[in-house]
Amino acid sequence: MKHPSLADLRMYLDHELPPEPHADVERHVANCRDCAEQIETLAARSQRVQRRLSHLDPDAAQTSRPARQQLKRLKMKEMVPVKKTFALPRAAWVALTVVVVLAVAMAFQPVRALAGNLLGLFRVQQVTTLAVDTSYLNSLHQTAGEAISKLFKDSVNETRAWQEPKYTEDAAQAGEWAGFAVRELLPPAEDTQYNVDFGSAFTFTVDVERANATLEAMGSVDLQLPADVDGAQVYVDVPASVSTYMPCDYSNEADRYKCLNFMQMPSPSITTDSPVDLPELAALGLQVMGLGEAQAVEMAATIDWQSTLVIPIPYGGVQAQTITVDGVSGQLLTREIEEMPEFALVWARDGMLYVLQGSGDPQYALSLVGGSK
Amino acid sequence: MSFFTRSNRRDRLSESDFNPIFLEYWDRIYRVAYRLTGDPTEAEDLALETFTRLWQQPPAAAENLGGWLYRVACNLGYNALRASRRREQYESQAGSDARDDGHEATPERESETRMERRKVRRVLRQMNERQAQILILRHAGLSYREIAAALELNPASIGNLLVRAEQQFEKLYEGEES
Repeated sequence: MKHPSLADLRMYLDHELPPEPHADVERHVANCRDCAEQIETLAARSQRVQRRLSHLDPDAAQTSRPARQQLKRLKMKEMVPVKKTFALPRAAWVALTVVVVLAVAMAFQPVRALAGNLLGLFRVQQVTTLAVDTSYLNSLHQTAGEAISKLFKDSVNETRAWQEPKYTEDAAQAGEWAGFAVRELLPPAEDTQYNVDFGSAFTFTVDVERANATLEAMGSVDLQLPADVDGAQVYVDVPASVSTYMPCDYSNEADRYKCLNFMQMPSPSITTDSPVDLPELAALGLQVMGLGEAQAVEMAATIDWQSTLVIPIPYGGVQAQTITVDGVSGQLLTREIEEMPEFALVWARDGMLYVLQGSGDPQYALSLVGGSK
Repeated sequence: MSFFTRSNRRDRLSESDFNPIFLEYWDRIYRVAYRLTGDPTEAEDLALETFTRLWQQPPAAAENLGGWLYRVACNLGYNALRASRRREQYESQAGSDARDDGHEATPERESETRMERRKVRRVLRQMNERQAQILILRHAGLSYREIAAALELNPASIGNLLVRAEQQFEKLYEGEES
């Protein structure tokens, strides 16, 4: 009697055999004790392993937010260059968003809005990083995330509709779509692709009640917004960006250093129709992110908040190093993942924000942009 | 992974093609990511990264995008699993620091489940990557044909590979007992 192989028995057990072979095995097993026992052994082991693996399944508290919301998030993510390159932990972005919101709301003065007189609140001229301990935010993500989404849900209005990105191999065409002349930093090559993302613009209205609830949910019960900032209007504009992808063969390790992605965009801007006190707001925001009051006030005073993009870097995640790049001071961010080290060069110059990302050693990338550590 | 291979021109996915795929697969990809990372935030970010790659750099072959998504999610998840060893060391150090500080211990049952999860993840991490991925995808409910498509294997070999993966899992799991 020819016994089925172990693989066949397993396929039989999982109903993965075509009908005829399945029937053959079934007939055989009915008359062969050894094979019947073998199947029992396979079944028992499979069940044990499945039971252990099911410990990893998410339970009710760990399911993800609805797919539609995630889709929206993905599209929003595309607009913020540093996030696209690094997928910073969401807690860090929560912190940054809160800083922006609170920065605007907290120092509002009850002055009459002057029609047509929008004061520039934030326009990037330089980039720096700030090490933060976001572990407490991670543990609160469920409550904080819900509170923050409530904060924004009804008050955000898109003023420029989402437009599908466009692709071209012609730099001039990309520049025409994006509204600025594309800077070519990567070596010219056949097959270079330019991806134009049209960004977005939106307004939001400050809702003090919800903002305070958000702060409470994040554990910052002492920090509350004054009532007179309720209803303040904030305008956020994320301009179009152009990403250049260098053609390369990622699967070939020797070639991988060439797999670079260069993103450029005019600085995002945040404006409002009333004057604001930025260091005061920033100090509040830094306290939300876990700094003590004295340290927050001191740090807030040393950064030019109106022109500096501060990238929050959670401990143990990304390493940040100040470097010279393209004739200005910028940041080299590196992520240590055992299999694939990655880096991103981030800098701002002449009102433009640049991000150059890749894998492995950043030496080649640095050489392209006049960079040195 | 060959996301950057550009030997063939690829048709980019339009929004009308991408959105339905996203909505159809999101939950399943999230769950795969969650099983490997153990953290909802990280799992969401990893799942989003998976779909972002599909959108920005879709594979040359338009069919079986589902399998492609599973493969990318498994790869990213397995990398995260390997990277988490360092974080675990940091956390267990923080945990022992907390105990030294006299902080209250978590409820016993909750910490048992957490320990079991960590143990299972440790076992997966020690396994050969391909074997770990087969177990994860099988547990996610994929058929042999779907697993083969996702991992670019011959469907006829899945039965054998599954048996060996389960044997290896048990061996390592029992080894962790001590």
